[in-house]
Amino acid sequence: MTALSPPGDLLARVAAQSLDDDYAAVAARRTADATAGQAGAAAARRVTGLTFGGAVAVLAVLLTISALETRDAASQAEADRLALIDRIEAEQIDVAELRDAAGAVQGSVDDLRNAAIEIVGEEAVLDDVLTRLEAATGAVPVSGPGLRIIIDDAPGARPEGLVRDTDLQLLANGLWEAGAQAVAVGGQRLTTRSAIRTAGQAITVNYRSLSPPYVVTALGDPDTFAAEFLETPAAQSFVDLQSNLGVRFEVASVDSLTLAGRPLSIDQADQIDEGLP
Amino acid sequence: MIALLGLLVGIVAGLFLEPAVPISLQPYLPIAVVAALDATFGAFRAMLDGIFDEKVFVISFVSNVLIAALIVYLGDQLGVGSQLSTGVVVVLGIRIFSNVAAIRRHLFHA
Repeated sequence: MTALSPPGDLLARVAAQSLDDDYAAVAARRTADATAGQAGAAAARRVTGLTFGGAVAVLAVLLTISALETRDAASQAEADRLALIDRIEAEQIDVAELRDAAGAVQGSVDDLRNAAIEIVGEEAVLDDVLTRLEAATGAVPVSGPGLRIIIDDAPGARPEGLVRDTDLQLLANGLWEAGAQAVAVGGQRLTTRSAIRTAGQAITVNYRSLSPPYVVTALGDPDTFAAEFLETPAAQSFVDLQSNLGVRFEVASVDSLTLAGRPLSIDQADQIDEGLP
Repeated sequence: MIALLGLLVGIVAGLFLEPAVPISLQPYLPIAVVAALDATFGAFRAMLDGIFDEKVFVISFVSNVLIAALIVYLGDQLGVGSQLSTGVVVVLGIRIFSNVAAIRRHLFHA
């Protein structure tokens, strides 16, 4: 079967030489041997008998192994594919759940943001209220226009010429009556817990002893405060004391006064919430 | 008879021993199988032609398998393993087809 295919036609030549040339060559030689009368062919056959069986066995082993391998690989690939599909489905479910969760969280984020905005607004209101309360109750320093009143004992050592705690109480009440927004006596701010009273020989405010002359400062409307105050009974009574006993009583309007604050703390009284003032 | 025995022994050995193919040899197994098939069909055709010889078959079988695997191995080392595999498969496939055609002509006279 020696083929002479057209040169260059590779595939055709491959097809034409599909049978190994050795078969033809050996067959030709054997024919020649037979005609020459030699009888070695049978012996050669017996020698190669075992090798032939071995070759066939090797072929069978190759085919079997490769079939097994392919089947294993195929089943493994199939198992991998199924496992992948399972995982994909599981992950898709997870993704959907996470998306829902994200949506819910987004909703609560929006709610919280709105709440935060409201809280910020309330905080501003509360800050405002706190500032006003602190100023009104005397907890923090304040400044503004007001009156400075100087009171002193009458000259001479007559007991009726001495300024007493009741005089200063009267004066403070008169200032409040005239519309004072903050009052300090001898530099001591009058707060919601301040007392003016006598202890021993001295008058005390906020438990601090004062000595004459007593300087009382009060903040109020610069247009009306002085006039209002001078019309109060307290002012009248001081005017009387001044003219009758010589007690010193000087009232001066001041453009800018600063009154110290006195921090207040409450730990025994519970607050009852009745709305913001 | 010997051939049948060898076939049985080989199949049984392959099935029951299930020899694990080393990972490094796995790429060459399919090519070796194709080469072995080629040698087998060639032998069958030679038998029908009346020129079969066992020695030639053994030699062509072993050398075909080894050379095919060697070519693919070389191709792998050179970085053209898949192309050379394709070439080997094409050549062996054409040979198998034309051998089977010859066998068919012998058997069916068609």
